[in-house]
Amino acid sequence: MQVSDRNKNTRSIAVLAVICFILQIMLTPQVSFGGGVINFALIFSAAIALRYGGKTGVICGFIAGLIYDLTSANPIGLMALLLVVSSYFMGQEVRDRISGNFGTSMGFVALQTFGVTFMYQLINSLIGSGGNFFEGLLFKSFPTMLFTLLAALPVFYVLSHSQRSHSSLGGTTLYRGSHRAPQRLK
Amino acid sequence: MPLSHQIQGASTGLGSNNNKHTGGRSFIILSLLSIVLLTVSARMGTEGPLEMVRGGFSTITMPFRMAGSAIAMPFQGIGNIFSNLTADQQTLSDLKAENEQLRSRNAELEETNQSTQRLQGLLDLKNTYNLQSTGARVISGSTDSFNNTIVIDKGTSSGLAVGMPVVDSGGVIGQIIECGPTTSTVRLITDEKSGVAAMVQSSRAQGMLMGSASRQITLNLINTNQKVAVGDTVVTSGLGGVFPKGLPLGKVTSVEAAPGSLYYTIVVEPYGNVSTNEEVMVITSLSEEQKATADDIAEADKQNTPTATDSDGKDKDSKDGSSTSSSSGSTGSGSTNNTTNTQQNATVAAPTGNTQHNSGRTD
Repeated sequence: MQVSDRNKNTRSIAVLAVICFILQIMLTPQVSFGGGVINFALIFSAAIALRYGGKTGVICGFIAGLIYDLTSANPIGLMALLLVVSSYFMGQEVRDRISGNFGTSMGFVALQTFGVTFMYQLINSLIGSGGNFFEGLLFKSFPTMLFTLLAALPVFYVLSHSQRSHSSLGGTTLYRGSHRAPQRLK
Repeated sequence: MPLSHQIQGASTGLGSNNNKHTGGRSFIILSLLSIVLLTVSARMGTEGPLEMVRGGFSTITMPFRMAGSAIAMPFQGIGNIFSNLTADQQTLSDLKAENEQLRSRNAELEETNQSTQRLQGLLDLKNTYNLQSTGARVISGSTDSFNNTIVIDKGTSSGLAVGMPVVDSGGVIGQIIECGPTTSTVRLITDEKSGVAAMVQSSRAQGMLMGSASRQITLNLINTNQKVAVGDTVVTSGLGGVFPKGLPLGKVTSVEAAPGSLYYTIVVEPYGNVSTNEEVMVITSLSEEQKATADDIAEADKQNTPTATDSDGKDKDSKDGSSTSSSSGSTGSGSTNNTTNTQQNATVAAPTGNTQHNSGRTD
């Protein structure tokens, strides 16, 4: 039973990863709004961190960040580091925050988007590859935050609804322990 | 619920919160790995194994980029037609369908026509400036907002290398900063990390064309005693030996001189305008006549000197005087002149004085 669910989770992650990868490579370079582009690596890592959390979230965050770094012209490893850190903290405590909790999960995504984009610009400026920090924040980071959040809206809406129906079928057992934790407190 | 069950459950709950489940160990390992990668990448710059990996990755993802570019192409030309479709659908007939088809075809032909014009422009530019170059197609823009770059479909296998200038039919658009086997990344002149040695064509005032985060380009380091006017053409000066001399860069759109400032604030509108699916030309080598000559360099240096002496007055003059006298002293033969020069400039150029003494003794 657990093996089957694990396979299902792996398949779900792989599908989301492929979609986000293709969008990042194909769509992002073609679509730019006021200097900002959508960061699908961030959306992917947020989705995995909020749904699965833990080790899975951290590893997926790292891979997504690394791919983002490889596609950009900035030093490799920075986005990977930021997504590992953000995925770790977002994946703590109770897993599956997405399930039926669209508003809260979007709040977390907004926090992550703001934090990661801000830090990316700041560290890039500090190591000399990001230009002027304040200009970068105004003309690059803020539009990126905005459009990443807009792109995340439909993704998380779909994920929150798909997870609800999935749970009703008794699907998720991978992190059953943490789901039980609140019940034990009663 | 029995107590034993609760205890068992509690232990499971704690177990679920250990490093294995929270990913603490993975977090530490991957964070350290990321920091190592970041350090290596930042230190190595555009060389090293990580850049090879980036080049390989760029090659692998090239088909996706090209596919994305191909998908986006029709939308660039028929955006207006697409928006009209909803209105026409109510009374859709064969004639209207045919009309739409013709419009579509017209848009396609228009795209082809524009492409031909761009290619013709590139050829003209190549012939006018006698450029040794290779044509390439833009396959994608930047995948992040932090860099203003484009990716072209030629790389080291086509003889391209990092540092080569890239032009379109309008003029210079940027410079290659990364080169994979089949793709290259070009930093546009509007990028804030970009800088091109440039000059105002009419007055020959030399400066540095810099990009900015807002994608606006400015011509810096032009002295306020130089003549610059709105509408003047800015071209490459050839200093630095990267860009050929005299290639068009843009047009001056505003000139401001703050009171007391040594330099103008000059905003330039670039002639080159690149989006995806367009053709560009990479300049692979420069001929001797395209490089800046010693006279050009001397002229560029001279442009700074008058302002320095004018504004700073005697201090600068005395420094210049010291260097001149020291050189004449060292090469000159008169020992009395030598001593005089040394006394006059002892406070300014002590090492020079010593040299003069030594040369005097040797002589």
